[in-house]
Amino acid sequence: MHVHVPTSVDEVLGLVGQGVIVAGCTGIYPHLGPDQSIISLRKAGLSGVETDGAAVRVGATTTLTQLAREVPFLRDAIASIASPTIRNMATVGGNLFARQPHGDLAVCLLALDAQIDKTGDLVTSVSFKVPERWYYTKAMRRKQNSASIVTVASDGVRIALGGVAPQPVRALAAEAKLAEGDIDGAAEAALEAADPFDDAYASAWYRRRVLPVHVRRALTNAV
Amino acid sequence: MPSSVIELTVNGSEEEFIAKPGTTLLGALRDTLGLTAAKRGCGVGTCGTCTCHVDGEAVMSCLVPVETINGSTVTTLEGTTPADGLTPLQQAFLDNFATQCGFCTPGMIMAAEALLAANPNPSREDVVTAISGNVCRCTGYESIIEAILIAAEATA
Repeated sequence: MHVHVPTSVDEVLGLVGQGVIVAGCTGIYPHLGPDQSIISLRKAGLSGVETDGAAVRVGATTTLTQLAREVPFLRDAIASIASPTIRNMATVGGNLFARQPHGDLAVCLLALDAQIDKTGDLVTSVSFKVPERWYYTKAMRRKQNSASIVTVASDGVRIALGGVAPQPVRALAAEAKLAEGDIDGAAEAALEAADPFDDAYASAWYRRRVLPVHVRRALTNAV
Repeated sequence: MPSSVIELTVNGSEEEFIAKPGTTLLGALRDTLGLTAAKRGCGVGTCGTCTCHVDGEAVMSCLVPVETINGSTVTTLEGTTPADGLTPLQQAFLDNFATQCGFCTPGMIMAAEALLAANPNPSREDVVTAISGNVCRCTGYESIIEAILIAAEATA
């Protein structure tokens, strides 16, 4: 096996296909076999947060800890992900590839209509605007360091859900109800976007049952 | 791929060693450098007993391929311990029965050291958050939280 540690994006692109791309090594890396080569993005120069007014550009290998430091409105959401030690390692780009019921930051980015910037097939950064309003809630088995049962993120217009479908999803029917000012209607309509699964944290039945409750709670509690 | 030469500053001393491809920081510490305070529990980043500091931040050393941190500064539990005696945090663990079987203790202390370095006056909730990535299967969390709060009070 090889451990590639490229020091530029060009060098990464030249290595594509020669190993699994990793950054924080918290998501995919623990599940790799001992003979699988990796391409680490740790020194590829993709880390950092740039802000210009409300516009934010986040380098792909920025850690969740760094992002929370620089972008205050996301702090509650980031604090709901894993533990401080893992947040020191896990990256923004990596979160996009986290399998549900993980990937709560990806749910936030979906609600923010974030743009993913790529060079070739490599995610290099993620861009979004700081919203005027922000709503976030995550239901989990414990108060901290647990995967999602239901995650709800919204800027008051778009609503994105985690934990209730194979990928983070937009709840479009719920957004239509929210646009009419009907929060109870939005809560019920969110079920149209749900395609939940059973796992060790909750059953599909339970996720469907509590989804409207958490959508309603999220939309009535602005961060 | 041939093995690579890795240079790290570990607990203040310059270390240079040869690592086979895919060696984790935890493996290098334990098997090459003989620093066995950090333990291998789960090996997938969920138990926290391998917690060390890399460039000042607490990380799960079982998830760090050592080639990716070549040139970094690493601190382990051994590095925080004075030549004679214990740190206030270690003493508080001892005095407050926060160590039961002891397997989680190195990780708990390194997670707590990171907390106290950033926040010398933590609330109880801050402490709970700081050790939320560390599992104690004796379930001795209450005495661990107490010990960290007592150490914070003693040193603040």
